[in-house]
Amino acid sequence: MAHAPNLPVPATAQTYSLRPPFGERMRHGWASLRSNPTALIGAIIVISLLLIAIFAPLIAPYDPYELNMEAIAQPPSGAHLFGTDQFGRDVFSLVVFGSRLDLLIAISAVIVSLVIGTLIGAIAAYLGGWWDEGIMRVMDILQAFPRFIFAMGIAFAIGPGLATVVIATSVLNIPGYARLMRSVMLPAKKSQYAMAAQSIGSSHANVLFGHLVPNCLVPIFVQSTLQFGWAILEAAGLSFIGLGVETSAAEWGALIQLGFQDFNAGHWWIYTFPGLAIAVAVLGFNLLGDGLQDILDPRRQ
Amino acid sequence: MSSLRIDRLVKHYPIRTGFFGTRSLHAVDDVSFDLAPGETLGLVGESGSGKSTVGKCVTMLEPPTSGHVMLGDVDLTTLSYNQLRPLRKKVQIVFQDPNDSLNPRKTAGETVLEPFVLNGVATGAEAQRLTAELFEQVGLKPEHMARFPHQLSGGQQQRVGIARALASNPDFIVLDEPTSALDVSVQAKLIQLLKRLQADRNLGYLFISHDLSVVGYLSDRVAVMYLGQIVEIGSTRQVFERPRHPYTMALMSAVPSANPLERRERIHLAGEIPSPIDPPNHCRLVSRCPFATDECRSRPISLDVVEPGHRVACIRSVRGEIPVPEFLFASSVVHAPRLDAASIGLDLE
Amino acid sequence: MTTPSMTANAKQPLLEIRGLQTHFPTRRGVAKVLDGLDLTVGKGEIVGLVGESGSGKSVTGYSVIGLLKRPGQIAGGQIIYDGKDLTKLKPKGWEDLRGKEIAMIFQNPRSCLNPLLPVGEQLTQVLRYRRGMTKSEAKAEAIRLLGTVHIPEPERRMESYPHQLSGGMAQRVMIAMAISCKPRLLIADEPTTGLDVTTEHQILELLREMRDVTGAGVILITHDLNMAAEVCDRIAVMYAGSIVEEAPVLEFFSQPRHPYTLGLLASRPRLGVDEDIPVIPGNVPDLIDRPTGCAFHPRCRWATAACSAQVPALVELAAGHWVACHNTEAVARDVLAAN
Repeated sequence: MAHAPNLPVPATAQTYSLRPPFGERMRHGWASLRSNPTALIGAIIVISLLLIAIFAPLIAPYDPYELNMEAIAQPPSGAHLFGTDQFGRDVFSLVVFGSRLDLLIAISAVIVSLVIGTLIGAIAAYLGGWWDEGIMRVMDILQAFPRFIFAMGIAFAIGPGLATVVIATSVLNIPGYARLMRSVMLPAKKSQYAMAAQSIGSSHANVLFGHLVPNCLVPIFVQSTLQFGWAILEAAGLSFIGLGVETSAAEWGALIQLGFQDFNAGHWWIYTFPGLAIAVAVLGFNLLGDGLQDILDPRRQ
Repeated sequence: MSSLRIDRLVKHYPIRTGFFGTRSLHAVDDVSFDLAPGETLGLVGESGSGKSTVGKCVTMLEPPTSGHVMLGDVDLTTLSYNQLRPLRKKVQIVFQDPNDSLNPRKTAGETVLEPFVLNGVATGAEAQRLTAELFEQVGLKPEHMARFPHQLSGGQQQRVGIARALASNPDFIVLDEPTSALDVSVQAKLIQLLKRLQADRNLGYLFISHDLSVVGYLSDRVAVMYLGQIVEIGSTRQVFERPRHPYTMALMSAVPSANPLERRERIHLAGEIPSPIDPPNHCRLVSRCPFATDECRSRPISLDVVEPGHRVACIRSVRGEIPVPEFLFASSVVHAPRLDAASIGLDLE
Repeated sequence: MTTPSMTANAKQPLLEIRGLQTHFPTRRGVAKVLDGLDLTVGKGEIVGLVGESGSGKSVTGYSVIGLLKRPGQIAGGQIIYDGKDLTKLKPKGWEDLRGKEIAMIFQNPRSCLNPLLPVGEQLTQVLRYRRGMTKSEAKAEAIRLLGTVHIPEPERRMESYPHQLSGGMAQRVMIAMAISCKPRLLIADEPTTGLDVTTEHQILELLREMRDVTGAGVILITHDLNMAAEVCDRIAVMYAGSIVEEAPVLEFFSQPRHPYTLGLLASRPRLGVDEDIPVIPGNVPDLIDRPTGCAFHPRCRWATAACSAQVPALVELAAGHWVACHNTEAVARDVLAAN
């Protein structure tokens, strides 16, 4: 260096902080969440759902798989808050335990499509030219697939079950993420900070993953919270038509299917309560997504 | 220290016209100059003249279509991306828009520290100490290290940009309109900083700007670009006081004179800058030049010496057929009372 | 509060702003963007309103033409135009005034034009709506106006879409549109920002020519002192929402008296002068948490106890030369000593 360190450095100034203190960032995050009721309500619903899933055995009054021939298809009562199904299982306990399976499906489906989709989109945009063209046309083809036909194909190949639901809901969402990532990446790639990263001698990988991708993640995260809701709906739908988990499992879609079999008997509570659970969960994730969009939008800062 | 030599630099961008046709946009056409350590070369021109593209080619952020960028004996244009990486630190760049040139998700400290780690100069606490030192040198405080770009003012952001360039310990810095987004008083501070850093580190500057007074103040030599080509190059005094190319004459006569008593004799160019798509081979100013003859429309041009260090791309001017206007440097000097910094109590940073 | 009065300008004032307060309430508190602004514009006079970003020069323009963006509001003072106080005007009154009597041109002319319509069409619409012309009259007048602003081949240019025009051409079209209803006051907000030096000069010439032709008063808002020196009759310097100095252009450059003006003039780089540029220490003040007294005092070498205690009023030092400073004499003495 041309300049010798001629400034006497006091012993206390030896450590420099490169990041604002953690507490300050948390306070800032909390303040913006508090000023955005949409996001706050969404966050409360989503956190409650997670807590219910984690503490399901403590919340549920009965074992959801315990058959009780004494109490078959009973309407809601003090003993059975949401009534019982045609096998005498407690619907409330089924709905509570169902949150575990549904959140698991949604989270794994979102993670799989998010990671693969953003990677594909980022690389297509960064490489550009024929690579971009080729990759995005494959994405077009994937997106043009009818969802349930695709799910039937997967189910035919590996049999119905958890894996089928996850694969069916994630693969077809990959193009959405890829397209979104590509659209945010294209202008970012032309930004001066990207050129600056290149000019200090960064490798392609560092420019792409160290500088560009972190700046493109906000819309991706917003998109993913919205997709959580869709994934739950889709998983339930697949179970309803019999391509998902078994009807006997504690899963909201399967439970609705079960209730639907008894539709004519007028046992409304068997399908209504899991239906409501789906509605609340989807609403929670959507509110959170919309709110985050406002909070994380850099133009608002 | 080796010097930087740009030789017959060409940058064309293909443009699709219709379904199959392609034409090319001649952003830079056959530009050559050199830059010595410790020297400032001003590159002026209006929008569309290709001056920014030259800056990006010199730093190899845009690969030139042809021509050479020689850093000492090494031709940077022959190297692959990975071969180039360790050499990039020698030629750094500071961008125009301080807001867009800093990564919004990295703090100022992280941005400036990165080159130390990349170049293997230092890591950990030592790198942080060097970063803090650089912050002091560019007039920032160590507590600015933990700030994000949006928490800094435009002037502070630009200082971070300069610190990032310095962190690589370069020999040359391309300054691409570094002060044009800033207010006058902030701009003055930054210009002082650039001058001081140059003196301390013997940096060579390629100063790209459309602001003639800033270029005139900072540069040892000036090159004037028009439609992708250098039309005139010489010492600042030569180019500003006795411009020989009709375009430079028009440019210099348009410099707003700070003294309302002395309005300059204007030299007007007809029309507007033509499209850079498939421009003609001969002089590119003919359509607007008041001195153009049929010869100008047919003969290819070259940069010819008119006096030592002063070269002009105009066949008529070289033969002495165009009257040379004289502009006095002093006429752009403010006619306000001479303001001695100490006497009016302004800081000299 | 004293204002640069009618005696200051030989010409009759067209616009007189007195003690204007324009405030922007924010979450953190009220930002007093304009804080007691005084300014007069005479008929056929070009007044340069010069200031750095955040000084409130653009907000002044928007306040005068009634286009303040929310949450900005006029909290006090008067804007007297032709005997009427514009701060009391109802929306209907604005419709009759804006565009007809008072017109404004902006930076980024291309973003002010409708990208989907040819410029001739846009100009014709203004003329038909505002001046009640028939289609053919309006077209002829539009062509004449484009010629007035020196657009070559105006008939052909009528058919051009905004994206086919260069920045300079688009600004000429905007000027043609602004003068189409023969306004008596024209506000030009940084009209040459983003244009090249040679084009910039042509637009300034055009502004002056339009003034000569129409006799309108012009407020030229700019951050560039050199540019103001080129065309203005008078220059007013803004700092933190009020005028700190105002003078006829020659006097302004030969006898500047406010410390901030001195700093601004000194910090311009000068060709061929190999001296360090003196810079103004410190930064522009926070408009929400303003310094007490004179807004410039924390950055001023001449600051005394009075400066932090009391806001200095604009005082007329010489004919038409107004300065808001408690220590004009000390400043004048020191500047004189330095020469």
